[in-house]
Amino acid sequence: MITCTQVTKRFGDVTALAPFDLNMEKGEFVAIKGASGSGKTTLLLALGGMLRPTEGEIKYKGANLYELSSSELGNYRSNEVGFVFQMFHLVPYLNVEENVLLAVSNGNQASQPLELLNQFGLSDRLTHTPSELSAGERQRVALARALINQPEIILADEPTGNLDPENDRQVFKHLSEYHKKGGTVAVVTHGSTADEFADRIVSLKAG
Amino acid sequence: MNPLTLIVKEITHRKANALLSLLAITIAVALVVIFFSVSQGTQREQAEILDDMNASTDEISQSTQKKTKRIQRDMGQNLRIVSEETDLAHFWDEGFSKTTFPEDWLQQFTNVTKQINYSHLSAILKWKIDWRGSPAMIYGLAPREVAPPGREKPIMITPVKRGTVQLGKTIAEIHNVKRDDVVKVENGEFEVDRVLAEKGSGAEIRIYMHLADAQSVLGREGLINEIQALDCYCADESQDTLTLLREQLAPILPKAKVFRMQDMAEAREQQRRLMEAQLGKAMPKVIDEAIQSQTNNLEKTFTKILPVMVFLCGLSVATLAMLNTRDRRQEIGVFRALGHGGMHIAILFLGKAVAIGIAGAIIGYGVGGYLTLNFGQELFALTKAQLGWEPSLLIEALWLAPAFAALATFIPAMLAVVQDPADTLRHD
Repeated sequence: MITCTQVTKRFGDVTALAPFDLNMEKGEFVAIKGASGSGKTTLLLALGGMLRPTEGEIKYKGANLYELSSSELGNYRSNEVGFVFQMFHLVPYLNVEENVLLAVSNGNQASQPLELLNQFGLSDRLTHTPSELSAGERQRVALARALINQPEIILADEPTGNLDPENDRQVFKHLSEYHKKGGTVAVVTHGSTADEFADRIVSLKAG
Repeated sequence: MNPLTLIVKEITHRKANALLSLLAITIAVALVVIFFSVSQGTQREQAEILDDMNASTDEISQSTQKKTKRIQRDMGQNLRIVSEETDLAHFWDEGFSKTTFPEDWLQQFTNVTKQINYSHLSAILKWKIDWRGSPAMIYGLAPREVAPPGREKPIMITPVKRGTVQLGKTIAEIHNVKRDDVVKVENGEFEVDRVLAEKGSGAEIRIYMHLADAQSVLGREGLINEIQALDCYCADESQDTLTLLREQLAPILPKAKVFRMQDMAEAREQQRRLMEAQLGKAMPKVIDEAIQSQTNNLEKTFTKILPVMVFLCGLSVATLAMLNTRDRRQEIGVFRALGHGGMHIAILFLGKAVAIGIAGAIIGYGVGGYLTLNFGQELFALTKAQLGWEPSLLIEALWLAPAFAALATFIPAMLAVVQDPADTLRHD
């Protein structure tokens, strides 16, 4: 479904991502591991259509991502991909429900937000803003936001990096449930919890 | 999600930034409102002062002109028309013409079709006689004046009733004649109707009587020897008045000639012209210039301060927008990650500026109007009646202030649009 061929990213003289090949099939759960500075986040952003590789190409369903027009790329990010970040990146002035609805754009086949938030155990937190939530709750809101558009692929960058073991496990359970329904997951992680849920573990080496 | 909802929620979330931006816009709008309100108030006030002054000047001018005309009229007629056969040496020596002409010559003036400069025409028969052993002048005066068409005016002569006389003071004193005495003049008897006040002229020895009585006692029925008139003050300054008068008289009375008492006439003309120039033009001009000078000073001060203040307000808005853009870097990254395009980001930033601009326009208009109404009177020496709310300024502020805010926010908004979301999200 998504193929990376000799994808390289350099920032000036610094190589953030060494030439890298990856082929992810639909419905696959891939854990990407590697030392700090090995380019995990860079790879994830490149897969999400947000960071053009210096060399190589990334194809999604046969189309080179970075040859798409900006509106096509916007549609890709909006409809095909769901992002989850380590720092959650919720909009601070919107409540839980609004943060989730933020991802819904025109023409999307979105899930029912209340149903989704109920599944994530957030039905009693709908009107709360991010500052009123725990870290685990915030990440669950971020997960709900990533899933609201029923994307083809979830790209998660250290989604449990700021969570306690209990929440860490819970987040992976939610990702696993999505995966079991046929979703594709690429998760960048340091932890070992991913090993339990991933179909495949990919290691990145620095430089 | 509706951009307006996002804008409102962001404004309420980052209150300090929004309030400071609102303050800057409010100050700019209030200053502009004060400037234009005071400026318009000043113009109204000045127009009113000028109108009042002009009205006063007009009133004074008209009153003075009226009084001057009356004084000049009381000086008597300044034109003397006599027969062309008059012995002029005798005329100027004795003060009357021995050559008489028909009284109805005067009626020729009622038939003129062109505009002429003669008015207050009156028929006179005067003759020097010896009265009780001393020289006296019979002065027969027609009771009515003749006026050319369109020049009818209240008469300026003092008519004498038939059978009566009015005596000059000197001659009355010489002969010890008093009012109501009956005196004999030539072959007629007359009651003394009045002894005139001292005139210091030939009038001192005149015996004024009705023209018909004069014609009777002098045995010259239907005849007169002089027509007196007043030239109107309507000749072009470049023209010689006497020449003009003579040109006008020729077709009316070809056998007559006119003399103008130049000193009196010129003094009268000059005085009228001077008065008109001073009261009618010079005074309003001086007042207008004084007021204009005051307005210019006020506008000069404002036009120096206002652009600086508005620029500083714009700079503040731009700086606050820049800080807001920096503050929202991750939020912008998330929006882009969620598929929102550059247009959406621009709408969020420029929309916020427009929303603050609209609020600033309304508040600034209120503040500016309040300050003008409450302090404009003292600060700008204007009457309260001239200071008021100017609704047109609100309408202008409602589109100018948002445009101003959007312009000031344009660069920060564009920086937000071109911001690389990966750069933000990669470094979290």
